[in-house]
Amino acid sequence: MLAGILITDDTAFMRMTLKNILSKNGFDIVGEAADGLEAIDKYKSEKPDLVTMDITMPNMDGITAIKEIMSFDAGAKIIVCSAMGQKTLVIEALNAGAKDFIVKPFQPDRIVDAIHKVLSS
Amino acid sequence: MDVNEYKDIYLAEAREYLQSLNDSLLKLESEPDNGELVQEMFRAAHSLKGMSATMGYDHVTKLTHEMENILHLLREGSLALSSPLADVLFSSFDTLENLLAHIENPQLPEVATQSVIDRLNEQMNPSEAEELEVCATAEEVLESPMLNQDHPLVLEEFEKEIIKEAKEQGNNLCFITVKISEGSLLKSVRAYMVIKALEELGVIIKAQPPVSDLEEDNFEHTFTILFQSSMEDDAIERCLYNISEIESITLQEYLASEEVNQSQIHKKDEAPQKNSQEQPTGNKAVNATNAASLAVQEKTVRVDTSKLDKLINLVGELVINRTRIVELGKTEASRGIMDASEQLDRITSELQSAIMKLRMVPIKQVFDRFPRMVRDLSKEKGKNVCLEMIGEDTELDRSIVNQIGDPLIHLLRNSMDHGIESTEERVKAGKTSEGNITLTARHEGSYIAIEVKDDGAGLDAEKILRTAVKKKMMTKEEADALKAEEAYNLIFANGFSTAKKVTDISGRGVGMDAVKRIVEGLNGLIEVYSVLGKGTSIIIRLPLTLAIIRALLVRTGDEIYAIPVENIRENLHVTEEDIKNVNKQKVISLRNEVIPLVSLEGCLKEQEDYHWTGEVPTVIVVSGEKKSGLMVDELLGQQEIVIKSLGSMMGKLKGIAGATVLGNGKVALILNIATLL
Repeated sequence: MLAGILITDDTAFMRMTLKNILSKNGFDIVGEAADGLEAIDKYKSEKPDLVTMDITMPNMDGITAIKEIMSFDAGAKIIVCSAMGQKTLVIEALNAGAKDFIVKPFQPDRIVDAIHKVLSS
Repeated sequence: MDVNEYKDIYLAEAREYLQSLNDSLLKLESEPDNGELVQEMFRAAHSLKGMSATMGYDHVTKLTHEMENILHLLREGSLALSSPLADVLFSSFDTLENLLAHIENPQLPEVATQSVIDRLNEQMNPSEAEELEVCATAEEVLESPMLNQDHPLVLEEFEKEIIKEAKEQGNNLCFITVKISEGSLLKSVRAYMVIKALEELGVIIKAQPPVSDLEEDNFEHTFTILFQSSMEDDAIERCLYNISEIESITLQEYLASEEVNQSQIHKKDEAPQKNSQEQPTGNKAVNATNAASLAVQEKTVRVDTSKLDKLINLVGELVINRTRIVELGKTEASRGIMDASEQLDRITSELQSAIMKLRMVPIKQVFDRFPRMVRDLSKEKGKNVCLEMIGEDTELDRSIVNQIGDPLIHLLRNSMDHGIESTEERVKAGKTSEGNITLTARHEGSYIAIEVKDDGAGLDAEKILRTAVKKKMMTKEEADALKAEEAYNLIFANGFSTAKKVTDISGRGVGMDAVKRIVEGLNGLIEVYSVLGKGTSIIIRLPLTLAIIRALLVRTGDEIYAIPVENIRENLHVTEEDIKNVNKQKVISLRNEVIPLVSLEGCLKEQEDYHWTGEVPTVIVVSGEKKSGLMVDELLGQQEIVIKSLGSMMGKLKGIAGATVLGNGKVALILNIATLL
């Protein structure tokens, strides 16, 4: 069975890029979310194996969303997507419970590697 | 890494290691079987290499690497310390010193290292050199490829404690070297993840580069962590490999021999420790040890000396104003001002003495280089000389320590050159074949005395006088009238040298007068004692500090003068009846001692025209062996004064050491009794 991934990003372009990379590498995209609130809803409804989470988003930022999700599912596997220079935010996200991070611009093999590692842990 | 930021610390520490190398090798020459010393030298060279590699000083790294190779062979016992080997090692230390000087001041000429490296290599038996090469490569294979052949981790006392405890508990201690994939973005966060993961598994004892550097991206993909855990190696490894963008992880058992690292405190590492404590998450144990480590580390602080000088100047100003306020307190009727000024007085005094202590450094700093110098000279001159140093821990003002080095070098060289006789001569004179020089520092009241004493030929008063006459420094008659002790003082005269042969180290006759000048410039005194055939002793007396002294204020005419209390033996009132005339010189008899009497005013004007009016306040001043009664108009009392120089425009004034500003804002001249009498 393919691992189900929930993609969270406020820009459609980024969601599309990620979706392409991941589907090509054998992942099943179970849903897309444009902000933190949506991500929480989709997490509950789709029960993905893994979430990619952008940090800066309207309505609810990624870090808050990670905290929310972790509060009801301590075993949630979330990977943060960040832009360059967001070091502090990434560390904050990791402390909130994210398992790993990937940095934009995305390099396909890195993303795939990170997802595999998080899924296998 | 911003190399410049660490340069000063690097240099200070590198020099400490260099000193320790010099000291150990000197000791090793007399105790060739002392393995501890070799071990210590190896450690020093090793640490130097690690530090220099971190800083990117390739020349130093290369040279220390070669030194380390030789020391390794010495340690293994496959090479014995021969005299030529010691010479080569010493010259490699000298080259190292020059390299450090070049690093400190890049304007200095480049230092060539190849010749000394070649000489080091020559000392190594070729076959052994090869062997070593092999074992070095083997070592490198064993270790992580990114690591520069050793772990540049320097452990501090508290870390050693942790290690000891960990061992006692049977915990796993290992070096973990992590390489993050090339091209990894935000590698500092990767490092953070590794650290975070490790903190869940055990305790991070130390990281290289330090955690703060890792967090700031100040590292090249690779870092090493000394880690303590109850987990097995492969469990740790598995856990770390779960983090993405990690290219490799190498675990290596921590061996006892790694404890070789110095106990010297690395200030550089302070910041990272603090930083790691600020990490939002973390193992409680780590935080606890960090807290403990902070307490340990903050015992000493390296401070730029110019900051200290600024501080001492400010305290000087404060002392002056304190005196002023205390004086106001005396005249103002207000009780409050009096109380407050007394308080101020007390606090200022404490502050002053605390700050003076900050400036005090052990004279060891100067003495340290002498054994090496004496060793080199005795080899060069074929004389067998033993240097004994006493009282190296005696402390004195930093500015004095900085200046006293050259005069002492000169005196020691003189002793080696002119004092100590050749071995044959010594044996003929019934002395031990080995010459002895004793260098002593000790406190004498508020003075420090430094004595250079040898058991050599002693000064020949007759020869000195003959030379003086020959050089037309005085007439035959004048020379005949001089006592031996007075003749000795001629060696301090400009252009005087009795040595038949001029060597490169002494005998040019420019030295002793320079020595005297420097000592007097420090408000010190220099005296010579000698017994022909038995030896010479030269004693330098220096004030403990230059900045603030206690002085007696006296008035003569309208002027106020300050006399340093060190020079004062007592004060008394002299009446006309007390005065006797001896050889047209007024004297008084004080407890069976005849003391010449002069008026301060007459002394400064160089003419005697004193008019007697009843009882005259007189200060009995001493300088070395000389005593004199200085008649003044009024004694004003003692106080602390801050010495200010008169400035270069004034030149050198006979009898005046400087000036000070009094509480009422007026300026008083400070008398230099040594030159006044």
